[in-house]
Amino acid sequence: MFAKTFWTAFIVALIHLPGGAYAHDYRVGDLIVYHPWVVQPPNGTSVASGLLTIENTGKISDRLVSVAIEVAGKVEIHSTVVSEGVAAMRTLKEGVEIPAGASVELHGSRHLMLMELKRPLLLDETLQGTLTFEKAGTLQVEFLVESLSMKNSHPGHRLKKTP
Amino acid sequence: MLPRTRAPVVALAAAVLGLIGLLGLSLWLGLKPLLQDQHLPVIIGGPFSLTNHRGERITEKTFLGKPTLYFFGFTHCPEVCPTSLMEMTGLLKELGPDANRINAVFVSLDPERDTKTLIATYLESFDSRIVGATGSAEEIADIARKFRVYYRKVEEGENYTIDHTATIYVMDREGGLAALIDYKEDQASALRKIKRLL
Repeated sequence: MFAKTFWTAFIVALIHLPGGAYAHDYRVGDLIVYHPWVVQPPNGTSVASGLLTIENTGKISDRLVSVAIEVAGKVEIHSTVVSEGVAAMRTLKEGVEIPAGASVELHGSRHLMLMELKRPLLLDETLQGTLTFEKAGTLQVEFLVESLSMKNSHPGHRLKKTP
Repeated sequence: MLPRTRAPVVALAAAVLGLIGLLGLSLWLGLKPLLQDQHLPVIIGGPFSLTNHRGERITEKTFLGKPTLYFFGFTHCPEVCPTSLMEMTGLLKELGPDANRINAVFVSLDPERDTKTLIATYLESFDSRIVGATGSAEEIADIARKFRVYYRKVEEGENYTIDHTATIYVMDREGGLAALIDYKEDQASALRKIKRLL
C-alpha cells in the first residue's frame, strides 16, 4: 500500500517537475488519465502519435477501446515492435487492457496513431479528445501538442540521452 | 608407321579426347567464379541511383569522400521514423562543426506516397543537412537489396503501413559499411561510431 502511494506520488511529482510542460490529468470512475499529449508531427505528414498514461486505482480491470481527437479523421491504438532491427506497427483492435491496480503507459511501443489530420498542429495548442473505456465509459480530455524533443522529459520515455 | 586401316581410329580418338578436354576447360572456367563467390564476404552498400528532395539525381558517388549515415523509412510513420530522424538531428548537433564532415541521408521506402516535395517539407522539421531520397519502386528495391534493408507493405484497412529496418547505417568514406546504430541506441555510443571515421 505504501509502495503504491509512493509510486503514485512519485509519478505525480515527476509530471509536476518545474520546467516541465503544463501537466494535466482527468478522472473517470477508478481511472486516472495523466497528461494526454500529441507529438507535433514533422511538416507535411498527415499522421501523428498521441501519448498518455492511464492508472486504474480500482479492483476491476478495464479497457481503453477507442479514442477520438477533433483534428484527426481517425485515431487508432497501435503497437510498434522493433525486433532484430525491424520495426513493425500493428493496430490493437481489442484496445488496451488497464489491469486493476496498474498504470499503463501508451508512450512509445504502444501509442495512439492520429490519421487523416485535417490541418498542421501548432505547438502548445490543445485538441479536444474523447477516450472510451469498456466499463468506465467516456471521458473528455484535452491533448496538448508538444514537440518531439519533449519525449525526453516525460515519464515513460525510454530514450537514453547523454547529459 | 601405322597401318592405313588404323589411322582414322586414332584420329577419331584424338578428336574425342580433345573435345572432352575442351568441355572440361569450359566447365572449369564457367564454374570458377561461382566457386569463388562462396568465399566473398557479404557486401552491404554499393551502386544506387535515386532522386534527392531537391529533385537532383544522386548516386552512391554523391556521398563518397565523407562518412555517411543512411536511414530508411517513410513519412507516414508516426513513431519510429520521426524518433530516428530526431536522433540523427541530435547526433549532427552533438558533432558540432564535425557534422559538416559527414553526410546524412533519409531514404524513403514508400515511393508511392513520398514525393520529393513531401520529403522536402517533411525534412524541414529536422536538421537541414539531412538529404532526402526517393525514386521509382525499382530504384528503391535496388538500394534496399544492396543495403540488406527489409521492408514490407502491410495493409491496415484503407491505409497501409510499412514494416522496415530501423537501423542507421554508418558507411565509411569509401562507401563500405563501418557500423550500425540501433533504434534508440544510446547517443554516446552512436557518436563514438561516427567519430571513429572522422
